[in-house]
Amino acid sequence: MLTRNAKGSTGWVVVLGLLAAVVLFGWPSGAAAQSSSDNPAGYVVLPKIVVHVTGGAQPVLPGQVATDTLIQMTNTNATNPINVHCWWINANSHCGTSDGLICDTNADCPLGTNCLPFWSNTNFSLTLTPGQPIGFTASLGLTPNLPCESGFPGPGCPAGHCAPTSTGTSCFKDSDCMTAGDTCTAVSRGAASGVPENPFRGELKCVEVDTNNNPIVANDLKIEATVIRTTVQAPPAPPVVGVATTAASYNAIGFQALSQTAPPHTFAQPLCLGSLPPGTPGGVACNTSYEPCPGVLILDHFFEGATPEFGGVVNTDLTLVPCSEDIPGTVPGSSNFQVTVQMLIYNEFEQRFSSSARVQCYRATSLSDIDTLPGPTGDSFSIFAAGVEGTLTGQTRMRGVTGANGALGYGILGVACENFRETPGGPILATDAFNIDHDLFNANGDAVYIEP
Amino acid sequence: MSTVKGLRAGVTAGILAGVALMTGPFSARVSAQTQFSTEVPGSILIFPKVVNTTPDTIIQVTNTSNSQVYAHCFYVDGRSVNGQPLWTVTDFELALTRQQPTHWSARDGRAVNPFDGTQGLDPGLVPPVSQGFSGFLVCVETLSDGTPVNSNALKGEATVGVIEGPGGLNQVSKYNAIMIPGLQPDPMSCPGCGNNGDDILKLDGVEYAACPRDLLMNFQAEGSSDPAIDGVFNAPSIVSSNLTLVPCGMDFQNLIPSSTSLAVSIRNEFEINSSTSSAIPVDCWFSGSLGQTVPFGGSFDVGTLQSDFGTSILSPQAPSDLPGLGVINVLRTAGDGTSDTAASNLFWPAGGATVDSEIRLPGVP
Repeated sequence: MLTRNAKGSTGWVVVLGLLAAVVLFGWPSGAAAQSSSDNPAGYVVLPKIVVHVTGGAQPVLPGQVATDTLIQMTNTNATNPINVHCWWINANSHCGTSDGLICDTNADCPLGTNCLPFWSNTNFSLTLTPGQPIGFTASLGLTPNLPCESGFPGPGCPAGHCAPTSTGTSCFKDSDCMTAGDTCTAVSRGAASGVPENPFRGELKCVEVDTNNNPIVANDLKIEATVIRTTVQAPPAPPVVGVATTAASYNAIGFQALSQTAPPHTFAQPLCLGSLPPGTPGGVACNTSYEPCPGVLILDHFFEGATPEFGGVVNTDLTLVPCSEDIPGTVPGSSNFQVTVQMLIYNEFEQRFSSSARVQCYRATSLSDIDTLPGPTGDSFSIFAAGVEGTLTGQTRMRGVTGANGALGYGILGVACENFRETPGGPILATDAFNIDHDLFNANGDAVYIEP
Repeated sequence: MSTVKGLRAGVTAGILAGVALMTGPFSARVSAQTQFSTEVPGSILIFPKVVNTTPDTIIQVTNTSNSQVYAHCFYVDGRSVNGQPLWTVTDFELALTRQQPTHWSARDGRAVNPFDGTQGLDPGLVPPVSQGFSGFLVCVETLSDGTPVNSNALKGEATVGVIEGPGGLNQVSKYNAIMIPGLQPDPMSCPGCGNNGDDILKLDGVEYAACPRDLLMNFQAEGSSDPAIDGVFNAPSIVSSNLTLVPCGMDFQNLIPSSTSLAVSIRNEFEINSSTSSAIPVDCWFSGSLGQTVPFGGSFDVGTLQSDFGTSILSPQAPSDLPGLGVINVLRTAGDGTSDTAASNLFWPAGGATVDSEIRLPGVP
């Protein structure tokens, strides 16, 4: 039986309990900044890398249109060099085996073979000197030497200082540093390899690391990509007047590094974007924690086949990738991991429609192919078609649907690219790309498993 | 004792209630954006580059919330006559239903006419800009009576383009609007934050986010070749960039053009530092090629830079100067004469220094 005093004190003890909860679990507001494409970061994703140039097993021929992606990368730390470890995530499909013909559909393959994805990756490491910018095409990379590497001193790479011990000693090269273990900050290192195949489609992911390729809590990496298309020429033959050269730029999506567990660290510990996904096996801890993935992607776009006021006809290509990644392939079932993306589409009448798509590792699609057969068949009946929606522009909200608990989360990232033609089905005359807006954050967390 | 049991039960109930509140689905919603962004909805949109010069500019604005949203927008003509900024301001209002996207072209504007060729709920009468207009657009989220509000429901994009067909001029570039979040009161992190509803919008980290002091810009040297185009023998290609800047702060109340000067520090691939001979004068609005002698003095030229790629920091020249906001638009021309433009939003240093500023609205007479 409760005494009168106990009854009367019930209210304040509940308040006391609430305060205890705040102390124990923290107040959530203001704690979760989100990934961004306008700040330097420690983990950076370029979702759309496209290459199809001359050379290789399936080259682009003179008179045809080649595609390449220009990467611009900068160390925004003006005082210290940074080490960067990157992976090309190869989303190419091949006929039958990983060495087979690169294909898009079964129709591209010899009879009896299917077009299958193999999700391979190729990594490279480099060291950028303080404040150093570099640029390279995805097809060629930047090899064998970076500017200011000992083999490529350039017009005059300035002096740096020895690190980490004799920081007061000026140097131009490592041998200028007398203290064992010291290297010279003025020397860049490593190389940026080109993509492993031509043609290539996929992603580029980069992490700021220490000299042993372990992620660190630092946010100095700034990267942009420009997808460029132009006509292949064949000198000394007279130049072919191409239909168009197009260029579309977007900023890399960056995740700020926030904290790190106490060492030792192993590559079995993933990078945590927000938090560990709920199904992560026991005993697995975060290597380094980063900002969470967006909860909702908000895409403003022209509807397919719309005719903008400045002319032409526009279609939009959407590239989506899961936020989570298993680069070494150690998470059981990760090769078949898919994120179901639910979409709400609003037109300018505020009418709402819905659709969905599955994203396995990498999905590049025109909007109209999301809910119709691949290719132009049926595009005019797509929920994304201007003729169906009745307005020129719309808003599409996309979110990954949480599935069964596992070691990988269900956040998504993306970038959009618009193609402008004079008439439907005609050659592309101009392109643009833009980062997709987002809101909220993926509360269930995402994980990125990497390898050295 | 019963009293102890009651105490224990009450504390437990309180803890459970607190956990439910903070770890339920609501926790994913509480992500306070406190800094300028080009991808998270905000309460003030700034479109630094709006032109009607062939190309035209298509503006897209969306209400990302489930409530009706209003906005008060201002076109500012950034042209100068005899060195004096025009600072011609034209304002209009928008009303957007929940989740409504809308669009208009700067050249044509948008009428309120359900029977015209532009389908969709007309958001309000949007005036066209004059031929040759070169300036920027600012939209401020308000209540229906024009009172500024911090719902952070607005997002926007601008597409600058012209399509004339094969053989003609075909260039399109797109950038995200700069979105300034209105700050929400938060008992732990920002107890005094919030919008006081007056016509002085303080970008001070209390009412709205404060202006980032520095802009980070990666660029390709003026007059350099594009390695992707030259790589397939469509040479000689040439690259040229146009930088557009506005001051972070405007006075629409007294119609005083904002101005600032931005110092430019440059670093090339070989870590060689340089700077422009003079600061960039941003009198209301600035738009110029990186190859212009004034104010850049050739600092971005490939011959001066001595590398094909570089990075730059744009900072207020004097402590009293306003920071800048801007976009960069890169023109790539191939050897066969075809070309295209590509725009990018500039970066800000994460957690970098900020400068307080304000946007003054005209208010209702």
